[in-house]
Amino acid sequence: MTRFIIGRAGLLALAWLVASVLIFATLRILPGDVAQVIGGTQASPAQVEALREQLGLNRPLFAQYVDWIGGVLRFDLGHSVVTGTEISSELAEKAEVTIPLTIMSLAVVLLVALPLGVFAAYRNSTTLGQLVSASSVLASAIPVVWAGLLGTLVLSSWLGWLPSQGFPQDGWERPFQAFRSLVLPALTIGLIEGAILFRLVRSATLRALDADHVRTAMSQGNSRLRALLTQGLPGVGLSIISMLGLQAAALLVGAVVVEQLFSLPGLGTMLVSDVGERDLPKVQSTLLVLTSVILVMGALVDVVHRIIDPRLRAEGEE
Amino acid sequence: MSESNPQPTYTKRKRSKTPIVIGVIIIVGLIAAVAAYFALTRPTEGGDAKKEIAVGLVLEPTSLDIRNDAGVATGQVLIDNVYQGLVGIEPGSIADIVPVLATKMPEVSADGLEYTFTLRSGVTFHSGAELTADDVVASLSGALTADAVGFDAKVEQIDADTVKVVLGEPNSRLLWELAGSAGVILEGGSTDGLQNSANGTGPFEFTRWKQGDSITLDRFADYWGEPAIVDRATFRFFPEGRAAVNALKDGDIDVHTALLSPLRAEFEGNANFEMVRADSADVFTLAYNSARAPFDDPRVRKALSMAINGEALVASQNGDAVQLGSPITEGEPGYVDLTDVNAYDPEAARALLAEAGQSNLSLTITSPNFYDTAALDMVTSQLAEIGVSAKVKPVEFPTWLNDVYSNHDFDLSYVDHAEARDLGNYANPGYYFGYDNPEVQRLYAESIASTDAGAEAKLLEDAARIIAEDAPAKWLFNYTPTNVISTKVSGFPSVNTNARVSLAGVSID
Repeated sequence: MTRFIIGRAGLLALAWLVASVLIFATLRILPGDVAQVIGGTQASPAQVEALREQLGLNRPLFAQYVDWIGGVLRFDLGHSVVTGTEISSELAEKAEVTIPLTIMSLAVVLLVALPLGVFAAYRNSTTLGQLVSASSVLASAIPVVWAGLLGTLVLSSWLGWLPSQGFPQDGWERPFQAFRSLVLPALTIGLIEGAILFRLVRSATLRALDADHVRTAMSQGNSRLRALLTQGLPGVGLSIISMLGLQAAALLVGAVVVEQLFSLPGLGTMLVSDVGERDLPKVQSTLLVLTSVILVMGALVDVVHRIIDPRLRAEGEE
Repeated sequence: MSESNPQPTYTKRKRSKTPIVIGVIIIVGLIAAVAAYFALTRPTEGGDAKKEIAVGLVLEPTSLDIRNDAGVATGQVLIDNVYQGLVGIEPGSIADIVPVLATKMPEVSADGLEYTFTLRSGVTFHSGAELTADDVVASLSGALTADAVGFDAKVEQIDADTVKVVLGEPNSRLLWELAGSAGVILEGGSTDGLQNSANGTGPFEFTRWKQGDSITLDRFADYWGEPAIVDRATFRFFPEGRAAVNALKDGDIDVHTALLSPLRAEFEGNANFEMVRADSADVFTLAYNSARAPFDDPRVRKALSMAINGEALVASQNGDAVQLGSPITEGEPGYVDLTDVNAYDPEAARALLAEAGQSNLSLTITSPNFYDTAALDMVTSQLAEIGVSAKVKPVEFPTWLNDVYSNHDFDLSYVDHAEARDLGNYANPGYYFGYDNPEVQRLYAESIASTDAGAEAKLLEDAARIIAEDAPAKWLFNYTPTNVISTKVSGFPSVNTNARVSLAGVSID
């Protein structure tokens, strides 16, 4: 097990390094630079050039990369080129919106996908089961923007239950307000992503119902439901855990769209405007942090998988 | 698993209650947590007697550095409210200049080289420091440079409350520059830390910038002039038009400036809001790259201009626009109605193109991607009618700056020139227009050197006529954005709100 974890950690470090190079390099392909944006349509070419010099944009790319990654390894994400604010403190501020939003949407995803997925598989032959499956196909095909507008129309404009945009100025100091303002966005991405996970849960459950050990359990006198719950679902859980890692990444992408739509000051909104301003140090640090989170989650899922699943553990300890 | 295997032996499993118990605990816990949350944190309402106003804007400043940030968004929020200059723009006008931190308009020497300002006394910065002549000298010396404003000026202190600006040559733009971001007076002239903070002398002091969301200003208690009426003003930013509409309807903002014209219908007949059109200096400009063939042939440029139906374009903006034939808008000096020059005439346009030997033109229009495309769609279809095929290439703004503005690599460009008094761009052959007419340059230089406002306006007008004939660009329309204002709000400025939104005289019930 230890060897396995060390190996995973090594792989993680390698993947992280490759990711950092990719992030750095691909951002440099974008045309236009921040000096130009700061100078705008008023600045003379000489002024823009001076600004480039001052911001260190004229230095060789390799040196810029080494500086950046060196800083990151010392937990210094650097400063925004445009506003001069510390990137880490801004990330923390924006994360106050995005992380609860992601967790809430993940909760929606699970609340939708797990019970309905198992139900649809368990009652696969009934009309209701088929209906649930069909509506999930429909839901997963809805664009986030449209779902958001629909949600706003019904829950906010007609019923007046939820605010349709914005996040309280003072953040979580008024938790009720903050929570309320995230419900609609979380439902919007949660339901759509949930529909995707639903299909996975359903097919995994169907396979489980058909699996030998479940049938054995049934032949031992357990009801079909009981056999499914006690013997089938633990296996389903494993594949769902690995799927959840991917799902979390998808939720972050969904957050970019949904934050714009609901005017939430989160990481997604920040990334969009930073790219628009070519504040590359901030964009690359933000992306690297997000990538790290996803990579670490992936590795954790692997490890958890191994701990839970006796078959994998047996292989590893030969 | 063959049938011949011996029967396995097993004992019946005991029914474990654990999963059910855990499930119930989790659900009850969750419900309790949510209920506690809602119960404990119910917002207190009604107890707050503070007068607050929230204003929605489309663009967020990239930085608060008033001197060095190019976008108009910074000035829109901070000039007049937080920062002030010796002079400013008269409320309700686009280009009329009035004294602010100076007690009166400056005395100008006969040769037009020396401007003497008397400073207002008892003015304090939001930091608490008193405004001194030193602050003025330091601020203006750093800002009035050829690089920043196109001319150099020496700024001297005469005595404790008198400052003199000395020019090398007469320059009629001086007061205009002093009324804008170059003229703001900073404490000690410093710009340190002002990228994300602000310290001025205005009726509001900067409180907080929550990036991606809002900027908050509070009434400044020690303001030298008539104090602001509201206690707090919040500017919120809505790049997504629909979210702004929702915020208005939720009551989260009281005013939204520059509503997207397709969203007007949302407020038609709504008794809680008023829609007000604001005059502005915004000119949506279709520029031809005059330095590049075939646009170096004036016949081609004129033909393109004649192909475009200005009236139809204005109609496409739901009324949020005024037809314009000149690079100067109505509120600025030198305006003259030139809509008849190269007016809509597709027949003549076709003939001109044939004469220039350019009957099968195929062009690209480069445009930043955040504009409403209705006008551009109309332009391309109108160009198609005279046999010119035009393709729109939407790009991000930094790309536009790089390709079009810096490298002059484009055929046609569609962009909003939001600055007032920017005719100089047509007198600068190095500008991205690539338009080079010595006569225009001479007239413009004379207008700058003129010390008489009437003569200056006349010269600008003459230059504008020549420019209109030469057609280096088509001025598609003058954008007059619609502001949606709650009926609770009174005194909201109705002119030039795309450039500055002064909240000093605004009140809310």
